[in-house]
Amino acid sequence: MKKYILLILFILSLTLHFGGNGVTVTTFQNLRAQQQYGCWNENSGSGGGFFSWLRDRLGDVADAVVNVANAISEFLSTGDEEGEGGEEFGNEIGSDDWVEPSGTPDNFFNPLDDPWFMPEGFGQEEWDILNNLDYWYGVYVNGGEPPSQDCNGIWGGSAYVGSCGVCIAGSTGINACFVDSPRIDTAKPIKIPCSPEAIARGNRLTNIRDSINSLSDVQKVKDSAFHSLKEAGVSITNNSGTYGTFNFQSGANNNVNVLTSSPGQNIVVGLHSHNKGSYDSLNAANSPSALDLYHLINGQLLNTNYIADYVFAHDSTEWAIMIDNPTKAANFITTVPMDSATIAPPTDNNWSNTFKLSDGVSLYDKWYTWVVYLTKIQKYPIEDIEGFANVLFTGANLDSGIKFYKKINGHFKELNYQIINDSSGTPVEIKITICE
Amino acid sequence: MKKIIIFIMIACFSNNIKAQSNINDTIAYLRDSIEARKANFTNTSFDYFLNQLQLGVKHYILDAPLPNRPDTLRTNRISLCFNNVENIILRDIQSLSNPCIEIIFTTPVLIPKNYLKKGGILDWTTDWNTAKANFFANKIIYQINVLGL
Repeated sequence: MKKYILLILFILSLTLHFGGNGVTVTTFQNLRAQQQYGCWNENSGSGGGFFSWLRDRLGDVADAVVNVANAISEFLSTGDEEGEGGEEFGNEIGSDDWVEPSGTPDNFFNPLDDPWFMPEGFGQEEWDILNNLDYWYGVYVNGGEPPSQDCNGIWGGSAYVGSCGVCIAGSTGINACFVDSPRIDTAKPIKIPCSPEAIARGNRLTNIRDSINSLSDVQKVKDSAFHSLKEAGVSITNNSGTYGTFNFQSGANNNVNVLTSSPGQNIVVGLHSHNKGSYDSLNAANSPSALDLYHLINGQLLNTNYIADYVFAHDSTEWAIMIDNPTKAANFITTVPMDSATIAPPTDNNWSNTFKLSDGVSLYDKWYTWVVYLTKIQKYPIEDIEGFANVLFTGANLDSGIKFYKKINGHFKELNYQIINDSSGTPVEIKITICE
Repeated sequence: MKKIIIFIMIACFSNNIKAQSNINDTIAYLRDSIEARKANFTNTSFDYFLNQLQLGVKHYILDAPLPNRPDTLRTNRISLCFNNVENIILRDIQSLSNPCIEIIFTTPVLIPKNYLKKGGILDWTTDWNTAKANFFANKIIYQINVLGL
């Protein structure tokens, strides 16, 4: 109790000059603003003021307003100075009759959140007392309207919440949403020697790609990647060694269904675009997606000549996927149902149907964690993140038997990953590799 | 003044200190105190749940600002994990489980896609923080599922 009395006295010692008729109850923060903006200056011409912080243990804002106002009116009418005023004040509303609050008023103030008013010498014990108090209200007289507080907590400040949801401008030090920071994401894949199989697959993909480059439908798909918001796609045929196109489509939405098999057509690969649209967040979506894996596997199941899918991306990168292990691919497509295997969150917001792996974690969660790992820990460039995440996701989590390729210097090169162990054999890092 | 600074620092980091000092066995805690009592969290606020949770959140999974997502996302789900993302990945490739809590809200949370972008309040490239927790603070929980036990 002694501590409480001392605390009340301390608070009252902060009392400034008072006078006038108006009595208003407000929040601590408003009071602070009043003082900061000179409302309590004796030379302000408003007759000065009175302020203090009062504890409301009833937890009832309306009652607190009345009680505090009455207390202050009495205090003002008696003209008591600090010590006596404190007693008067304490007798009026600081008695032991107060009970624990039953609710949380909107203007709850936790002193720990705002140590501004703590003077020199105000130590740990006093802090503990404050922390054990309940709700505090500020009271001021003749204060006028307090200034508003900006989103950065500055009274009268000019900061505001930008479209990104972040408080910007004013004194935040943030001039605008999405300010570019210096790039630190400069990690590159580790170069490793290619296996003979990887060389053969890369050469085959490169040869086909070179052979179809002059086909007009192929150019249309490339144009779509750069200039359209919609996907385009075309099937590539090979009739007696001559490549051609079949069933060019420009999607009404962001999905095209490139044919993998058709009577009388020897379709060997599919080609489609991942277009520049709202590709501004993960800034990727350039590489083959999980659905593309299914397309490839289904294609090969339907037509053994069908060997690969190409993706022309909006960022001018070119990707391909190719099956290197048909057994794994067949197992994958059997065990992970296609309809629920998309890695994107469900558009109907119904996660209950989302396919989960044996550990109960959804495919999306796995993929997302790879994305964060590659971004924050490995610091790969953002434009490579989704593609690299797909490499790891399809290899480590889905075990799909599919390899990813990216066209580099005119040649499709195989991407993979490497687990780096410490001396005891415990994995410590995972890196993307590219074979050359 | 030295005491004050120390006190403020303690206050600022009290959640982490609390989380890390009290729980020695994360799995046992999640099993006995969360999974076994999951019904108690139904119809409570996210903020209440976080205050009850004696573990620090090291990784979280939320809707992603993917190209095929609308400008305003509607998501009723967030997952909180208790290993950092590096450990999650390294444990995952060793087929070791990672404890996480999947939280389903009663009504979808509307999230402007901009919020998830770099620099946004829910910036997917930054760690879990108070601002992110506050964003969900008053959302009401429909169900929680503890994963990785």
